[in-house]
Amino acid sequence: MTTVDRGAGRVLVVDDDPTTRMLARATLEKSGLTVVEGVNGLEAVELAAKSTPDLILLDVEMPELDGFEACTRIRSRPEIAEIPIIMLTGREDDESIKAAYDSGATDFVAKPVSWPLLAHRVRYVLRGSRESRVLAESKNKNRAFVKAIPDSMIVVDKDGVVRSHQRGKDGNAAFDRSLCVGQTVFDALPSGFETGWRRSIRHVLDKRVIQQFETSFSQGKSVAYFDVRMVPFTNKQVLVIMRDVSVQKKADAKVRRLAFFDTLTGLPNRQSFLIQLSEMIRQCAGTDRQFSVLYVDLDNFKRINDTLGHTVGDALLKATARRIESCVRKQDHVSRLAESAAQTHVARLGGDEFTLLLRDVQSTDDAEAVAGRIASALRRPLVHAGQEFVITPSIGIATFPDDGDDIDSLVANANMAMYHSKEAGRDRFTQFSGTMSVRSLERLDLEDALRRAIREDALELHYQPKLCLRTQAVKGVEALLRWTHPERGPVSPAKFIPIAEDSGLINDIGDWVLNAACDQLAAWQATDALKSIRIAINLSGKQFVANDIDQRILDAVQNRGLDVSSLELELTESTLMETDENAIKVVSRLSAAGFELAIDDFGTGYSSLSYLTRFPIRTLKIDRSFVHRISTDPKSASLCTAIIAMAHSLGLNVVAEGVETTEQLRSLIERNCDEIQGYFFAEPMNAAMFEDFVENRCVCNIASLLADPAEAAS
Amino acid sequence: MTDSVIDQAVLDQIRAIDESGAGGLLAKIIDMYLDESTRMQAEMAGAIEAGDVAALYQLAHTLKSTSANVGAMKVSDVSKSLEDCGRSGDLDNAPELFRSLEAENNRAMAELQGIADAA
Repeated sequence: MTTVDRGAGRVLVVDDDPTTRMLARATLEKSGLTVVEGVNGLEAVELAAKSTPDLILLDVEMPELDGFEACTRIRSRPEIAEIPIIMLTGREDDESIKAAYDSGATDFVAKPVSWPLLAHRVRYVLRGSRESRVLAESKNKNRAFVKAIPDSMIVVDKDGVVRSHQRGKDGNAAFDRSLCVGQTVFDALPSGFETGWRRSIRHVLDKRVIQQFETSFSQGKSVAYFDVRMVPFTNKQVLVIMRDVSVQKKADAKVRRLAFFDTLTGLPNRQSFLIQLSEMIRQCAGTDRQFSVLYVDLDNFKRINDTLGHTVGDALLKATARRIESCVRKQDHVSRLAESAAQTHVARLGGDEFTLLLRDVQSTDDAEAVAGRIASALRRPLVHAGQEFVITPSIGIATFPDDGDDIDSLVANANMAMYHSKEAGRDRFTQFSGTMSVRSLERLDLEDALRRAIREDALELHYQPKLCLRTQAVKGVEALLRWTHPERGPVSPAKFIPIAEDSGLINDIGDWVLNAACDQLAAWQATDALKSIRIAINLSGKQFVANDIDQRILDAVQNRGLDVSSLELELTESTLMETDENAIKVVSRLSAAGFELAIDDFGTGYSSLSYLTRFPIRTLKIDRSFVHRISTDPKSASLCTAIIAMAHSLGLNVVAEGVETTEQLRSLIERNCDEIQGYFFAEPMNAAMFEDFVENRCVCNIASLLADPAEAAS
Repeated sequence: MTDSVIDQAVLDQIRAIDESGAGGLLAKIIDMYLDESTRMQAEMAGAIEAGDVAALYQLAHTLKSTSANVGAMKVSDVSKSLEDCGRSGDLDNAPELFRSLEAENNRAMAELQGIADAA
């Protein structure tokens, strides 16, 4: 007994003759098939959709709708179009048979039906249909796979003639014209590829190997990159697979750019500079070739960033970078155009630092010529947003191999020479020389450490109390900067402040002190014991170069809700003497805003006293050198007497600095000095210690200080 | 049975489908044929009388294959002739052919009835 898979065994039998239906049913059920019956063409279509048979047995001649029309309708509906249909036609009726096939029948059986034959025919058609369904599914899968691949795939023969093709998602970039079956693939490609491609196609066919290469097509301004693979397809055909790798290419290029180029100026970056330098050393080592490293640092550039913001700073850096580049390119016009481009490597190390590598310099004069060009090019004002800026460079030059034969020494020496340019007044270049001393190195080292200390907030303020001799109360303190170097230990301000002033770090330090003091003021004024304490901070003359210093001080105070009179500003006498009109205006504005000004180190400036009337000063601080000698040297004593008398006559307050002995104190009391400051009374101390100090003796008994100096000093 | 009008090979095919005979297929088919052919014959007479060529064609066409299914080949042959009348629209020979159909079918039905009874 023959059976077929029941899962695929439902047959729709449509015939208006009940005997035919009955016999068909009996025959098919005997073969293990299930049967659904219909009596006319309309039912055939309806049941085909509803009962989804695996096969339809369809009579031709039926009322309502004949078999041909039913067959046509079934074929036109996608969801049932694939069902195999066997039509029952009249015997020897060629016309019907043809019509049956025309209307989409899979097969036909002539009437009267031979029932055993029918069973075989049905099984045969069912099997064929199952196989073709499996085949169709696998074809569909393959088609889906192929469609999912973004690559363009082209089957060509040995002459490059296209046999079939599927253009990938991004194939447009490769083909100038459409790919056409029957034309060559070269017809569709931009010109210039035919010879190479032809050779590759032949090679793939002859050697049965895969050829892979990358190629680029330029279209207008853009370039598209393709990964091309040629694979043997049949004996006579090659499959060409093309993948657009432009995006990856661009990403690669971007990574390279980010790794080796500065995004702001587009110049090579530090990494790139170091690679080039190392390469030059490698090339020149052991030959008589020389090259120079130019280290360019822009003068006072940080101030521009600080005062005008980074947007302006960035724009000026870009413009400066172009100027520096142009200085190098100028050389091109003079001589070797193409060579020169590779001869000089300009890089931005970061911040406002640039380097140039000058290849094959004949003498140090060559490097100086370039440095001179850069200096004069940068001296021309840059215009940004209608404003003019002059950004001068300090340049250091070190030449291989005399000034160093490895990366570190060349960079360090060029850098040191640059610092010499700075120290000598900026806006100049300096050749490195062996006499640039160890002191310079130490300075550089300190400067770096100081820079780090500011960044890492490793500075500290100490406070030295000032004692009012009349009320015997501490009304104010002088803030003194303390810096502890991680290796050297505490560094004296006398040592690091000049370095800070030279390097421009003084502005950062000044800001740091200002903010730290104001923070401390705010904290103390919130307490009962110290609510009326005042802090004096020292201002460096260099800070007045930036003419917004008054605004920064005012902001610092007001932002914390402090009274301006609680912050006292100390300037040295020499600072005031050196300042220009601009500084006088700044000082006047500060005074007008309510800040009290004190002259520090008074008496050492060899100055005309007339400035005391020009500046709105509140306090004079007598220099410690006079105070030290007040009880031993009559001249110093006289001077102190005169200073105090004069100050009082001008309505100024007088503070004696550096008081260390009972005698000194006594002398000062005799001369009506207003306040004293010094180790004898209290040394500088940190904030917590000062709080303790105030808590333990908020009123100082001067008599006891005078009576028992040993105890008082302890 | 020398005077048989039924094609025994056709009946054997039906018997072959229903090997055990448990389904009573042959008897069912014959029963169905007796009913259907009687009905169609009557309708055919009406169609001829009314000159309804389309109905005649349809009925004759169906009877042609229905009768063939039970081996009544002569009935099938005459049905074919009547089908041709219906298709061509020429009913001149129809009454005579119909009488012939009646005669043939009476014989066939009688023989089939016997076979059904024996089954």
